[in-house]
Amino acid sequence: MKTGFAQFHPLLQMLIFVSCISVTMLIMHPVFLVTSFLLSSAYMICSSGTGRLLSALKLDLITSVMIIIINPLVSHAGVTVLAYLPSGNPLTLESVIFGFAAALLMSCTVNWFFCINSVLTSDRIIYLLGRLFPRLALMISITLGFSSKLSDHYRRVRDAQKCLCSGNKNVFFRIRQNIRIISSVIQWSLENSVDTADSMKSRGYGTGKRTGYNNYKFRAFEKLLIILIVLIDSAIAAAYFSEYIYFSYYPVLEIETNNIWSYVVFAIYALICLIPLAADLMEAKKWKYLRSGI
Amino acid sequence: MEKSQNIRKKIITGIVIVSVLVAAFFFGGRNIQPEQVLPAESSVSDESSSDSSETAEPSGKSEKQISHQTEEIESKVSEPESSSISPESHEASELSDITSRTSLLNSEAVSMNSREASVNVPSSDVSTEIPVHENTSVSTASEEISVSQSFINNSKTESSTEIKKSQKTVKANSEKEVSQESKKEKKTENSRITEISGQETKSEAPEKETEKKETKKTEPEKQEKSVIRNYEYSCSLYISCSTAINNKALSRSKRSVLPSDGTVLKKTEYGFDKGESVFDVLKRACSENDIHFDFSLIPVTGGAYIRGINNLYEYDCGGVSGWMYKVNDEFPNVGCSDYKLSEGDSIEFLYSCDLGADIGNIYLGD
Repeated sequence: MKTGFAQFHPLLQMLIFVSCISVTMLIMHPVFLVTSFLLSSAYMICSSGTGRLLSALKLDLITSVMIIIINPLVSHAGVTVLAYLPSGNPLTLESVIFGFAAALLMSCTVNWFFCINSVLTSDRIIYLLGRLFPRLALMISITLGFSSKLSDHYRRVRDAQKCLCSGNKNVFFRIRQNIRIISSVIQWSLENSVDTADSMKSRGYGTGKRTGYNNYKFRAFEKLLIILIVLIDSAIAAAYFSEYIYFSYYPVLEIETNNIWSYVVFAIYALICLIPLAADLMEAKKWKYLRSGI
Repeated sequence: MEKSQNIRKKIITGIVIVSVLVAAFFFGGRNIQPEQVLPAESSVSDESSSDSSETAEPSGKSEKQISHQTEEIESKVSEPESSSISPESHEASELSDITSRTSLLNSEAVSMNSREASVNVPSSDVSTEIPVHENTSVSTASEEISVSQSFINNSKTESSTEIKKSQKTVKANSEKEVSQESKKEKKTENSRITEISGQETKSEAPEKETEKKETKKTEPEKQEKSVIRNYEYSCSLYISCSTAINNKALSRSKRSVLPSDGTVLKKTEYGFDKGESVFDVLKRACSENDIHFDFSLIPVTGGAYIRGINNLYEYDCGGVSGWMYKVNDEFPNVGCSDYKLSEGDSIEFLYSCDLGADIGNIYLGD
């Protein structure tokens, strides 16, 4: 049984995630990046343990290293020239720093999507998108479910094959074995999809408008939160476009720190990112309190 | 086990991808190196312009190849020791120790001969002194070994212990010599040249020696020239972005970088050599004046496209902005790396915010 943030209304969850990700992506301010990364990691630990965080961080590390290496080689803008590349273009400090920032942004996005995956289940996605794009929502949910099913089946077939003939370290043998496994998995998936189609047809898919049962209701504080988040998002957008939070990576590294309003904007952005974490923590505290009362 | 293997696989694939990307980046636009151009001697200038780093250190390169050769030779030496048994050792089957030793020595002599043969095969890149030198040293070594062999054959009748000792010493000597040879081979070229001139193999490669000396003489001259850089012709260069300064689309950070009057580079004279393009002059001027400069080389044609000068890039003042160039008040219809300069040309690089209309190159359509 999931509690806390996972029990929020799907629309609210979606709104929070979208605003968290889009603000970090569209405004690449270093403070936003750091707060977003830290709070998403903290929420992941709180909701699904350190194991999931580690698997996310592994992915982060790979993408980050790629970006950090490639960016200075590709982009040459910037005032501070560190060295000249063999092609004759300059290697600048700004491009190196931008590489780090982009890597952090990538990690943030990966982290937030890990969080979404654990919170927004397929029935919630269908609820959110089912009325707008019914076919698309169904397809998304089927494919999401199918990918995990496929990997599960692959693992099962592989284990069975291992039991049959293990310990052979010949590369060609292994390749052959893998090909055999994959072909069997593909056969299985085709068969399975045909079965699914038959089953859907026999249950009357396409005869009329699809309805779905859901039990999501807006609670009072959720309505309030939605209004608050919309306000905060618009405030951040206004602050960005009126240059209250001014910064630049290219061509000169500049971050304005003497504007008090910018700190306010950082604080309210942190507030949005904090909502999932706070909901889970409050739920845990409540549970503890209730148990102590018994 | 499985997990670690998976991780290893992932790491290896990652490294491979990264290395391929890096290699592609570094060697992608390598063919065009317009910076180093030296006119006077045709043969020397060809070498220097193609790749300066290789010609700068010829000794290091040849050393590498020599060490590679010695490795090959050593491997050849080790092979016959194990496999071949000479007929002499069959004759002396009574004294097993001695025979084994003699066979060793014989095989060594054989290997020395084989080495002579292998060394004589001329490798294309390495200068020819190396095999010459090896011939001499190897011949001396083989002589000594043959001497020791005769000594062994004579002393077969003597007591076995004495023979053992003497053979040990002989073997040790020969081994020492081999190691000395390999050390000698790694010496620098100069000492080798003197050695060769001193030794008896003058007849083999006197011509090539002289050739080498000639190239050696030319090297310092070449360096001096690259330092002084006397150019044959001269042209003037002027870089300006005055149109961009008052443009509203320009971002605040970019505006802070640009000069207040828009003149990035005042009109100055720059020398150039015959056949150089506008791009070469611009690149040289920017690197001399520490002006930031970003270009991309078009892969197939090798033409250069200037993305930005002084951190002012294309598209910075809207979708139709970018750098254009003028030569003698005309906008050429070729890329700046394809326009060959002539004496007294005046080049102007101007930033346009409106497809050239604001700097006097109105686009009239096709």
